Amino acid sequence: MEVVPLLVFCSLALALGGVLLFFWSTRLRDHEHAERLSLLPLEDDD
Amino acid sequence: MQLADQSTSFAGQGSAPACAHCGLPVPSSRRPSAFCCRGCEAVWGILHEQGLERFYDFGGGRGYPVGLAPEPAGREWLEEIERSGDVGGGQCRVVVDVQGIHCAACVWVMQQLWRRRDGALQCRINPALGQAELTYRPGRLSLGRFFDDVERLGYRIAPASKAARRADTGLLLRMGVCIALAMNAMMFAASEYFGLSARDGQPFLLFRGMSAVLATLAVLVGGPVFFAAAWAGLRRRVLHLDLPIALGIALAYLGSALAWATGRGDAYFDTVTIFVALMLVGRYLQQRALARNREFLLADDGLAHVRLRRVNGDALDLVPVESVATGDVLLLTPGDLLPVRGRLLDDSASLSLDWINGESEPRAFAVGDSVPAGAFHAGRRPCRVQALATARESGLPALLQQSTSDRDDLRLHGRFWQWWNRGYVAGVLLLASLAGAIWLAFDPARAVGVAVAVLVVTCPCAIGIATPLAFELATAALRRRGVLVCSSAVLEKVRFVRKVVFDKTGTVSWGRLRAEVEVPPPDDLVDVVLAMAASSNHPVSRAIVDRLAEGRRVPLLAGAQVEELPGDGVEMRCDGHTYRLGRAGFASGEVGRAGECVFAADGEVRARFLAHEDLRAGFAHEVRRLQASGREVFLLSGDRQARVDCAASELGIAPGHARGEMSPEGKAAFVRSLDVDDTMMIGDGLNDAPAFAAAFVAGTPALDRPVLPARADFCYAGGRPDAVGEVIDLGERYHRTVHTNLALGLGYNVVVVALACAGKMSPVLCAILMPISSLALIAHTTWRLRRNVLPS
Repeated sequence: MEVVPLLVFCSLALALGGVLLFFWSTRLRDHEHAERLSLLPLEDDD
Repeated sequence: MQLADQSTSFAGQGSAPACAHCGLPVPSSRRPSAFCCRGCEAVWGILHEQGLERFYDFGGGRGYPVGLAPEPAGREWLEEIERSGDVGGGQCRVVVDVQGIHCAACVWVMQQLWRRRDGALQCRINPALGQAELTYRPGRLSLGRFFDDVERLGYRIAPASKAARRADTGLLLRMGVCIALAMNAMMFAASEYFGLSARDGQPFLLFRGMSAVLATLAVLVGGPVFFAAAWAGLRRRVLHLDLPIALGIALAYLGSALAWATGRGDAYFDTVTIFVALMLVGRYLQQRALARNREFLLADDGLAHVRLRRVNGDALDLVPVESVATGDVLLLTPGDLLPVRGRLLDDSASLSLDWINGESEPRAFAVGDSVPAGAFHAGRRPCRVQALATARESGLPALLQQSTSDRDDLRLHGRFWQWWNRGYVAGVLLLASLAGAIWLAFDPARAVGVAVAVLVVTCPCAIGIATPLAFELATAALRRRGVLVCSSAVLEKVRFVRKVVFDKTGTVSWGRLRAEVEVPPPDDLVDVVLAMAASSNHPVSRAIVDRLAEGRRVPLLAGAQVEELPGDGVEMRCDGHTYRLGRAGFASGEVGRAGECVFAADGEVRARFLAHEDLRAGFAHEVRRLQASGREVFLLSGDRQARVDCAASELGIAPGHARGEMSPEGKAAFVRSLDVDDTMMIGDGLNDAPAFAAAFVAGTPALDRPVLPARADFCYAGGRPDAVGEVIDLGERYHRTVHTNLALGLGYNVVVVALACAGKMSPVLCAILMPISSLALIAHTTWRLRRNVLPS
């Protein structure tokens, strides 16, 4: 069962990474630009 | 009658074809047109002319209701922001606020208009904030022309004055962190549900410990949002809506911690963590719905549209407030707002400070007295005031910017939620204590576990997640119909409304009178007529100024004494002559006609004007609809009684319910006398602001004048007469949905509390039942509020 603490550590590290990315995205205020960002894939068509 | 065909009459709305632009029903008065209003028709035409039809693809097949045909506004500020926007390298970067941006289609159409211009470099639009950052080469691109094109599509542009709210970001961060914590807590809990037990030793203790840590973090990160609001409510002796949520979090966490620490009973850490995350999602939904509506409007300080009469030598200039400097002499006419601190130059004046300090009676001022900014001229004669400071230095912007959250008063909570909260708090504590006490008598080892189970299973999901979702769906439905909800309590409040008070001018009518010249004044007396008309704020006077001025300066006659006599007109004494402008009986002693305005010099008629007022058609139908639903309708106006009676008779309002010649304070006093937490005021003028403060609910069609939207509970585009009925209807639907949710939640609680009291509740069962109940309430809310609410 020694592998369990390692797995817990890895999962929490991943969660922490996700939270940090979320902080970074919030700092860029991407959530305010959802409408603009949603149009980016269509740039070439226009 | 030029504008009369923009009216909306929604008789037979059920079978009406949908507007080709916004999807709202086309009123019978506009058929066979394919558009509900002239504004929608104009915007649709421009989009097709410019080859921008994809706008409708991005906007879900429809645009936003427009109302009046949009016209580009004046932009005195443009030169300054272009000058300060120089970033070197022949490039300029400016940031402007844009009113009306709300979806990907709006972003796309603005970007397309921008890219088609020579010299355009970058266009970065923030729809959440309603702001655009434009980078361009100034020599090759005219920013003014771009703004004109954008405004012709129904958007409005203003200098940037909005800033992202830190509080919103804080809530978003808390929500994100708590969702991450909840997902991890579920992972640890799942291992227990699939068989991990105390017999497994170290892993079990590790997982249990991790669950406790995650729940603690969730309570520390997400809890303060609810604890702070609940505590603030308690300090004001109000049982705030957050109290049951805060109590639910605190008791469930403390109970679980107690069970974990003592080893007696089950710990529900995963449930607590998920509950905190769900409650934050609900709170974020609610704040986002309001923030979107507030950011939809331009956020100036409310002074941008206020104009003042500045004495300039022998002339009067109508100037915006920002250009008033210290030392300027201003002429205040009856009903005018003084937006700067000043000193009275005339012998005496009567000014109302109701707006500033709530004094209902106007106060008398003598020459040399200091007059505070925000005073209304409540007297009959124009008076002169010297500005002692600019508007910004006077602190008026802060007064005007009174947040709509100030309207989220506590009167509502005195009714239903107070009762509910009190019942919930008492009920949960009583049940938990009772269950614990009974088990203590029979099986003391399980008493704590049962009490904890009761506390956990009674967490108020219906209040925390389903109610905010209902609010979001209802406000979104109204937004699609051009109605912006600006305060969180309005949907609950509208169902109590039994009296609807309309301001006449601008709300029920088109706002401005038209003056027809029947007998023109002699050339040598035109200046006299203009000077008299410009000294009055009466709508007929303004119509005469509009008709006669036509590019000419409005003169200020030296030595002239002007007095306004309410209900009669204006009298001026100058160079030994007495001039009168107003009702025929007052001006020349003859019997006049309705709408007639006579100018007489020493009793001899020298000019005649006929004032016309066009009511918005469709209002009569709306008034009938409100009356049929058992509500009383009133009409108020500063206009003369005869004109108000005429409008009331056209609208089907009882004569006793129509009041004319009302001052701002008079309107406020009238609304106060009517209101027993059941009066809605609809107005569009700055002078309606005191009445807004007195009313239980306030709404305005003045989207283009930011003072009132900032003080109203809701505002609506295009002056559509049915907007008031729609808010009331949706408020009632929202109320029914919320109450059904509470009833369902109560039913669920009865079952789970019975299980918990019987000692049959376990963390596994709780982890299954709680999400199911939350999802059921979310599905019910969505079904109730999306059905038959969207425009066809």
